Amino acid sequence: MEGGNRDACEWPWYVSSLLWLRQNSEALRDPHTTTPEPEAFKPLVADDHVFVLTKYDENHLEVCKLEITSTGPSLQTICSLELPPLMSGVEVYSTGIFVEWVPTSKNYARSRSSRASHSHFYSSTFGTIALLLDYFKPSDPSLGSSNYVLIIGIEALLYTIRTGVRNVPWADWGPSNTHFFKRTLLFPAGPSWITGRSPLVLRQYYPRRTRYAPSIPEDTSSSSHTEPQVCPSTEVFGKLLDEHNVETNLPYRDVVVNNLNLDLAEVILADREWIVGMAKTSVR
Amino acid sequence: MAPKRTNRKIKRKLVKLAAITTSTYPPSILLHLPTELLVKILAYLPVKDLFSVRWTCRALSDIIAGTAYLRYIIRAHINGVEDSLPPDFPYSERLELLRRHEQSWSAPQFNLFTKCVTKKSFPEYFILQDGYLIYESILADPPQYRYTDLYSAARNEELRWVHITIDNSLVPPLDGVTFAIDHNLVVGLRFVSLTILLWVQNLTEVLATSNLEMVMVSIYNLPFWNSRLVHFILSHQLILCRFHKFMGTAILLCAQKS
Repeated sequence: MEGGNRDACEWPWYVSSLLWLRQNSEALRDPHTTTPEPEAFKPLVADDHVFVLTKYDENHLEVCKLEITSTGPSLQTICSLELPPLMSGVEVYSTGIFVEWVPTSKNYARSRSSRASHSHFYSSTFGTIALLLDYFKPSDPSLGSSNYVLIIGIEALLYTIRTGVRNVPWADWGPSNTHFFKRTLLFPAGPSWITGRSPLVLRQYYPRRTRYAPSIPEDTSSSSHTEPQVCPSTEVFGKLLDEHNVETNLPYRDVVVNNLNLDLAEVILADREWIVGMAKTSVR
Repeated sequence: MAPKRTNRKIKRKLVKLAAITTSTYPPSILLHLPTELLVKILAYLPVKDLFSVRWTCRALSDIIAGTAYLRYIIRAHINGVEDSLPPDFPYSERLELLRRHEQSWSAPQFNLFTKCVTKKSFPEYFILQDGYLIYESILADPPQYRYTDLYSAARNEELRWVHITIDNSLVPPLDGVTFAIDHNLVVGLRFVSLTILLWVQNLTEVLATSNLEMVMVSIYNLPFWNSRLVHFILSHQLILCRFHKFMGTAILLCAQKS
């Protein structure tokens, strides 16, 4: 690439990033503020558009679209999705959004073929994202905070966005397109989520496979492997949440990898082919 | 007795409807087209419509099920993947590779590749993008960056790191670096605060009248692959309003070139 000024570059590239300016120290000091943490913003490229997900106020996930005009970039709010209903007096804040790394370059496949990759396939779309939510009751600190994960099926999310409804109640989009569960371990690993390290557990969501299962053309070749069982992900939680309303049904399956133990790893990085575990050790 | 009568009524209506349908509409011209042509027509359909077609007509359903190309694009859609295979790679073999790929995710086998010691410790940051393990030491002065290509690594051997040296003589101190491996791009970012901006003549009036807080962002870019000595080149300068609703704590930075 020959850089230079804006007009001299003819090849297409696209980069977006959300950055954090540490200038509002008040907001940083107060964990219960509605000011968002930097990780609560996440760009999502779909259909050549950049959507930005942000959870910032009153139990809603706001979806914005990035508009780039001659006057500069701006965010246009498209819709606001209600999160699981809360008990009275309970507040929620988001501590992050995890998204699988997905290439957005049109030339990606060509450049990739020159490397010694073992897989011929790569993710072309975001399958799911994970929204980390922490619940607390200011009037009763003894309850502490409860940490949950909301896995959201992106295809259904985009469908909801395109309906044009500005404020979408939880019941209209949440139960069928999400999986809500108590947070333990969670790292994105290609199309899966690592939810256990000893042994390694990969949680996979296959909304398309579930939806199209009756229509998938049969393979003539025989398949000897056994598919892991798909779970309906129906779980209900109470205490800080309205337990009668938090029921989610996005199907998933847990794949256990018995020959890999990442118990000592403090940090786990993973993509479609690699898992990198990092542990502290003292070397003399 | 009532349900049985209802069923008979429904049956009679269906028979009538079938008679009307067959007498009103001529036999489908579409199905008289050669199979090769039908395959080409079906290939234009979005994948979700291919699923619908399979439910409308047995003949078309058989054509889809018997065509490797159509079966392949359906399965690739379901799995949310694209391939990096050569364009002339046969679809029957592509389909088989995809089937094995599905199986590998049903019973994944990870093998220990290598264990190595990196002398730098936390809280430095590591990023994994497409098999590139990237290390950034943002606390160092100047910040240090290096990467290793895991695909090029040898089993049970030390990882070979490529150090990126940022030439500070050409670029003012950066506030952050973003990696976009699939674009062969590293983007360096530098913020200039509002007070420094005040000298910009055409902005002074805007700032005075609207009381907006402004941030100027300079974007420098460089190719990522095989980078050793970095010469960031000024690519964009953006002036962004802080979003009021975000209470001035975060801004969106975006650069686009087309």
